[in-house]
Amino acid sequence: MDTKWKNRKKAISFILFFLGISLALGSMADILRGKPAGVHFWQADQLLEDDYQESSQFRSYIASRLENFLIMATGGDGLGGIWGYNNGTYYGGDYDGSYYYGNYYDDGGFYDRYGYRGFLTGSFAEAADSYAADSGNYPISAEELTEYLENLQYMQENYLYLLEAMEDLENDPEQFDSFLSELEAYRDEMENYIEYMEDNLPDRLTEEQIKPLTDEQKKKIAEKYHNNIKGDQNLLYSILYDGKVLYSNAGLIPAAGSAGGNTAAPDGSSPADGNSAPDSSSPDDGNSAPAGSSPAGSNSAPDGSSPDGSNSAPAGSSPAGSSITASGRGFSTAYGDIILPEGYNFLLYFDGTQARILKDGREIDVYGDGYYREGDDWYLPGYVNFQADGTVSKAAVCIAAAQEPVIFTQGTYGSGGAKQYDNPLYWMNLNVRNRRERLLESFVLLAFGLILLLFSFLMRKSRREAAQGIARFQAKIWLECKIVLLLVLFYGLYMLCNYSIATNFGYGLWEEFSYAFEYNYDFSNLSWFFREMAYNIPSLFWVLVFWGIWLLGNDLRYNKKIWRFSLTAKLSRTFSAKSLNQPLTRSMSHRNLALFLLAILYGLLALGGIILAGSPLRHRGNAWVGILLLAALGMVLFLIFQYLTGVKNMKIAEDVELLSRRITEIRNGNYTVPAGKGEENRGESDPVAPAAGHGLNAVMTQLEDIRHGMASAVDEQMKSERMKVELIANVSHDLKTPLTSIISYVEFLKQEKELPEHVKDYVKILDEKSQRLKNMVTDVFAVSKAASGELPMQMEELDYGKLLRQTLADMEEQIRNSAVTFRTDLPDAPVKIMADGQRLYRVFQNLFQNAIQYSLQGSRVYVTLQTNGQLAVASVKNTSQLELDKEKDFTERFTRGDLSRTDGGSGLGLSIAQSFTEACGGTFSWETDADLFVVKVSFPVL
Amino acid sequence: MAEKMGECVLVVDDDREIVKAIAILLEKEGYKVLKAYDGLQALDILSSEPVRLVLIDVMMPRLDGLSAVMRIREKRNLPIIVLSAKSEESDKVLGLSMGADDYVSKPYNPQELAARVKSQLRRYTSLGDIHAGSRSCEIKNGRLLYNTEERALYADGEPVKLTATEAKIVDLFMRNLNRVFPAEEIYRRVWEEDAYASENTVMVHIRRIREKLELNPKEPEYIKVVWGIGYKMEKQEKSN
Repeated sequence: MDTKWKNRKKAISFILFFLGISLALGSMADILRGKPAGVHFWQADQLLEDDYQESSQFRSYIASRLENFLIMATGGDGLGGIWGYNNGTYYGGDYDGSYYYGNYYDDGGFYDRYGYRGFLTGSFAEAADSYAADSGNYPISAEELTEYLENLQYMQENYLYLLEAMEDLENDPEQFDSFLSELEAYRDEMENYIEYMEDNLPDRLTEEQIKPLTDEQKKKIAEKYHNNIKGDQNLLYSILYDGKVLYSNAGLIPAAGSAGGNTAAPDGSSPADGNSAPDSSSPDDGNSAPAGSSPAGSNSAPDGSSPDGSNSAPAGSSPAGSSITASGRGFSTAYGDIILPEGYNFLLYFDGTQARILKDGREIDVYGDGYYREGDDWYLPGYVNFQADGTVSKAAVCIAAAQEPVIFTQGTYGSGGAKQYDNPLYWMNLNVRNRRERLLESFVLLAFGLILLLFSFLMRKSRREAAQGIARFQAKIWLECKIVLLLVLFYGLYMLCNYSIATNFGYGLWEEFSYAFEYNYDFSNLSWFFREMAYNIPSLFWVLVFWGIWLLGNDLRYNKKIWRFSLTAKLSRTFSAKSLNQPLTRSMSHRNLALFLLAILYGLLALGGIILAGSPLRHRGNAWVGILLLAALGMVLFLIFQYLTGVKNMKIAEDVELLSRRITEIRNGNYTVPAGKGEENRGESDPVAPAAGHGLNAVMTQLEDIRHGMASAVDEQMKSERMKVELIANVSHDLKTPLTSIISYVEFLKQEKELPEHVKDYVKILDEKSQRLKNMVTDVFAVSKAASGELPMQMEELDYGKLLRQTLADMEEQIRNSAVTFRTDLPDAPVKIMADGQRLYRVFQNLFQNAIQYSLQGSRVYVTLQTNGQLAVASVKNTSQLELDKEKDFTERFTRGDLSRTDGGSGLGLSIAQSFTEACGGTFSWETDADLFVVKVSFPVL
Repeated sequence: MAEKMGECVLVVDDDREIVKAIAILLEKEGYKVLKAYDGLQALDILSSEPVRLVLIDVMMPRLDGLSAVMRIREKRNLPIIVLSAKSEESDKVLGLSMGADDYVSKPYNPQELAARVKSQLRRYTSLGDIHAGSRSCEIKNGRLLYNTEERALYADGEPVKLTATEAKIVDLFMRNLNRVFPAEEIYRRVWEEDAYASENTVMVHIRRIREKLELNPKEPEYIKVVWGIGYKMEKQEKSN
């Protein structure tokens, strides 16, 4: 129950943590992505602004409109830029090549020598023709070009004909030569033609070839612009110059009311004729206006402006110096009172020097202290440091913006379908609203996430346990999988960055860096890159990246040595485990092969990586090819180097194997095999000198020295061992001969009846000592033989328990006559061991004799046999008569319980027992515990 | 003792004291002892004296014991006991294979030596004649002869007195020379009861039998313990 709750708590805490982090991070990323530029994260009031007119986008839009209107008013140059993108907002318009100047570039297949047929008939001639007509200074005319190309074709046909003809002329050298020279002439001529065309057909217009726009053209552009935007009644404007209304889509300025009303007519067809507004002003005043303006609900504006407007202000009055006063609904200006129509809450009036803005019935301080600084709201002329010139002072512009912009569409079915205006303000407003909603949502989620995080913080102990649990799970995943997942994540990040940059800027990250490098500009300028990342990468991805990093950190934190559990490690472990049992050369060659294959794999991976990562550089031609070639060359060189090293290593491995084989031989006691005999497969090797020749010569020679040294040392030792045994045999033989006499004559003395009593005692002592001497001589001989390993053994399968019983039975008399009692605990079931029975009998005979001889009178001797299935242990325990010296080694020759050596033992009993046990393949051990003396003789059970 | 008088034993050893000691020992038993101190001397005496048995040491000057044994065996068929300080099994085997009839290692037990001399002489003289053609009911093993019909055991031709149980054991062994009997089996077959604490009982009887038929019961030649397995009657290589 308790653990169940604990587990549940763990799960809950982690889920809280997971959701909290995900929500907080995701919403934060969303906010960062969604927030308008220039507004900081913490400026929540600005972030949640729902009035689009408060956005910087709106302000810059109004500023740029004013600029364009002033250009239109003054007939200036530069409207070309209005088509396309401005301030990040696309507001429509076609690319109008006929008026917009720029670089005209077309190689038109001209350099393709066999593609010129397409040239003749294809579009290039037409294009060149029209171009020539436009610019007027095209170096060769289309007719000329066609002529040239026709000639060229004719010449080529001749050339090919001659080539064919030449094949038949091989037998007529004279004609062949003449044909050949003719061909060469043709060829030269064709080359001249092509050269001429290349020289005279420019691929790019120079500055001088571009003519400045004429006033006519400028006016045309302005009108086109006006026609494009006038239908969008979200933005009302009136443009005046010199007191005259030039363009207007609403009669904002009363003085120009008559003129303004006319131009407002969004006839659609009228602009095409290129006539200016004033011409068409008189005929249809009222009827045309409502068509375009009605949907806005501000329909009354154009009409309404004239009646109530105090049009007393004369049009001719000079605007300069006139005071402008603001009221709740508009401005009273030199051109009359400008009243903001219904539904419009933003009014800008530029009087030629300064702009005044009325918003929501209140006037806005546009200029502040009168100096423009970076970051100021309004970028409009009128600052002390931003003045308009004299031509502008005659212009006046009035702009009004709708409070709630709507979509304006014009049904121009006569010219093919309905046309929706660009309605930038509508979209701006919509965007602001949507953004606000999104941001609100994000803020709510952020708050929720933070609350969840707070909860998970309160349960941090359980959360940590949960993290540990996850770490335990992570520990079971191969490192390679983790790396691949992480790489996929980062590759995704990289691709998204690249994608966002490529879509926004048309080129990739690498190019950006390479350009930054090439043009030596500051890399810190790349900070926009991070902004771009924040804007363009979905917030979900950031959450994913966070969790990827968190998992990595978690893994590293709780799992020690995460590289241990990896596929590579596993493979290498099995591989090395396998190679352990293989000869060195084979495992070495396997390892070399594996290394080589891995090198190829990694090389290919690296090469692939370079190709993938550097793909944007491909267009850089030679440099790219160079980098690729260098990488490929590097890889090939590396592989060659590795191959060569591998071959060398193999040779060394062979030598090392030879060496190790020889060492094994020596270790196995084969000192006599001359070097080189061990390997039959290397028959060519010199049997005396080591065959190895790759840096191991010295080692081989030294090994040979060691082998020689060891062989002689072993010989020496064998000799001395043999001599020792021989010596002992001889000595014991030499001892036995006098001993025989002594024993014989003592025997005779014992049989003498008439000896005095004290002499009989002497004889008795002589008899005892001679018997002991006899035993000692025999034992010494046995021990020395056993120690030198020369004892012949007759190993057979026997019953350990039976042997002990037999020995006890054999010694029964002796035991019965002794002062000690034997207690036995021997299993009835046979305990089979492998030993020489005769020797083992001697072992226990000695042990029992020992026990009888040195045990405390009346004490018990315990003889037990126990087996644990693998080992049979016979133990003899007795209580010593004399105090035992802990430090003494009782199995050392001539060691006895007492040091006086007065009893009949040879002092070799335990020594013999140990020697014989070990000669039989058993283990002999003894221990003392106070006066308890325990001997254990163990044998492996069969 | 009187009937052995005149039986001539040649004792050969380069150690004069040992020769003297053996001479005293054997003369007490009633043998006539001839002495030699090297192999050549021994051969000389053999060619002139009516020697019935040779006791010869191995390591001697001029002509060593084993060579002398080979030379003797070329001409004569008489019991030879090799006496040597070399007590190894291999030495014993070598001596016997050279033609010796028995092998006694130094330092010898005087009683045992005397018993062996007696045994060899008895076999050479009496047994050889009386039981020249062995009958089918007789099993011969070394100095032992067992008559399965009479259930009688003879050592060196002399009957060995055995109790009923001992006789049964001997019967079992003599009929199955060299076969190893675990104590339990002996007990079952002799006592005809289930074995209980058989080892000691069997061992006691075997010890008694040994005392009756072995020359040196402490180093038995016939009834041997096969340690860890059982008991057996060892078949003797030389059973002339």
